[in-house]
Amino acid sequence: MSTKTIIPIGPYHPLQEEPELFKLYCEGEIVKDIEWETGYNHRGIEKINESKTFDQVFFVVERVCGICSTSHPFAYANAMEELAKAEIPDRAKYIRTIIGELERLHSHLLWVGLAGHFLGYNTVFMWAWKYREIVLDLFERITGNRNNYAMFKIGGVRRDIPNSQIADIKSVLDTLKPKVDLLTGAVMDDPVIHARTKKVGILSKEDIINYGAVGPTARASGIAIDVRKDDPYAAYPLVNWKVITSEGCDVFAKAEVRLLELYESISIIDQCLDKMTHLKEGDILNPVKNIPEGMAFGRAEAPRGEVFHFVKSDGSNSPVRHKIRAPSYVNIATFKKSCVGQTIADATIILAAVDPCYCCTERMAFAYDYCTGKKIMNGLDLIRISHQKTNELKMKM
Amino acid sequence: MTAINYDILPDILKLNFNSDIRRIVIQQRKRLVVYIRKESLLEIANYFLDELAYRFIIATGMVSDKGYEVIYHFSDDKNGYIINLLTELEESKPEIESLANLIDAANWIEREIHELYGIKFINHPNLTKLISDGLWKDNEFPYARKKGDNQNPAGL
Repeated sequence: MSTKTIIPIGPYHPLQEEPELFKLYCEGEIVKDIEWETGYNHRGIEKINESKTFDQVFFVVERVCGICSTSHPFAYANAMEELAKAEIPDRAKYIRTIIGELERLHSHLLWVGLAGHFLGYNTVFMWAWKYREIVLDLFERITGNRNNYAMFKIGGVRRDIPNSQIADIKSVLDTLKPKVDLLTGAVMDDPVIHARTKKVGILSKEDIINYGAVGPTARASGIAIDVRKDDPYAAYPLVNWKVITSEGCDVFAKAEVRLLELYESISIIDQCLDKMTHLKEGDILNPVKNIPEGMAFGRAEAPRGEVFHFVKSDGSNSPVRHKIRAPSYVNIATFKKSCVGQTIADATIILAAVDPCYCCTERMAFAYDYCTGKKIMNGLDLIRISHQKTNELKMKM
Repeated sequence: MTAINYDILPDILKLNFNSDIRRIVIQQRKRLVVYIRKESLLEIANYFLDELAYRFIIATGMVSDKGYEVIYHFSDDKNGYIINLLTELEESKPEIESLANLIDAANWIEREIHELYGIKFINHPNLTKLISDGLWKDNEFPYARKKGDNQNPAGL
């Protein structure tokens, strides 16, 4: 008789940036079903915004996500500027794009590191996080902060990037390219990583459409959706870049898409910096005095996919309703398809593959025997099983 | 999939769905709000998802002057349009047919709207709490419409 077990991952677990609880229902090593619980960190941000002025909302939405903290102000600014019919200066468009792409760089590098760790490649983890520091240093230099940059405002940005700094920023960016080459080589050419991630956690095109998944999760299943191309905003239509897709549909394809997007981001930032030098310094804001009555719909492409903001205004200085849809909300739902039928050893990397927002707090994850309630394993054991599988594959190759 | 000409989309919608479409408001370029009868939601949503291959973004629940409104946001990724189906629900009977059987993406958000506003989604496969398990009582809906009550119901 096979033993049925429930393996809870979370609510606090190194796999996740935010407290969430996944219950994996397993028979033997195979995941038979998955359930999801959240709300541990419900902060009522949408409700709070109804008591803030339109300008104050930027500081609140910047704190929706600690990693992609510019995506929400980006989508909100797009919504409000459409409602106010405001055009922002070109220089502000380039600065916004640079911030958005730097954020994609650091977020993808963070993910590559974590994915490496879950597979038992701690060198990849240390490299990726070390090279991510280069990006965070650039952030500090441009915005004054390593995270939560407070750069956006209705009508433009708060800080300029002086022309005198552009050459230096470009040279720092140049040092990042060989590091990305190194990481890409380490992941794309390693036979064990291929064996651990190919044909694992498959999401078909139909699954993506049915769950409304977005970002690299959708692009890794061959669906070329990207708000930057589909509904262009900021300086994205003014520079050359391409949407990266893969037909693999598995965990490897998701890694491939993210790694190749790093090159696109570097190229976009490079082009923006070049074009900025021809524009007047300091021309970064067209002040907006009034927000009229009406509805506004804004979106931006965060590192994890489309961020959507809906704002209803009654002509006063606060939103009547502010709805926020983060990409993980739709991406996490795909676990029902990608995890079921896979082994427990692969569950960690499949859950990590959509890059659900992670929490820094590690508390507990225990596996109980379904019948006796006896504790079998904890979260570290789960990662240990994943490492063990990688080591076994290494021994065979 | 049918090619979409946005100049004539309002006319096509009125032709196909006649009195089910109450009015169409062009909020901004590429942003349309279609006010529909709530009884026709499934049929019209199916038209956008199946015929026009739109992507379901999310739904928004909100309190209105007369009761509640639920807005379903759809994206035309090929042309960058956002089409919003707005349904109005009476305060005395806030009910609407669930989209979750049509598309899985609607499952969680309908549960969330239900637990915050008390709006019932008819035929939803699992209309249980999503984000606040254990925080509020079963029949307590923190953002539901409360007449003459100025206190913030969620205690924020």
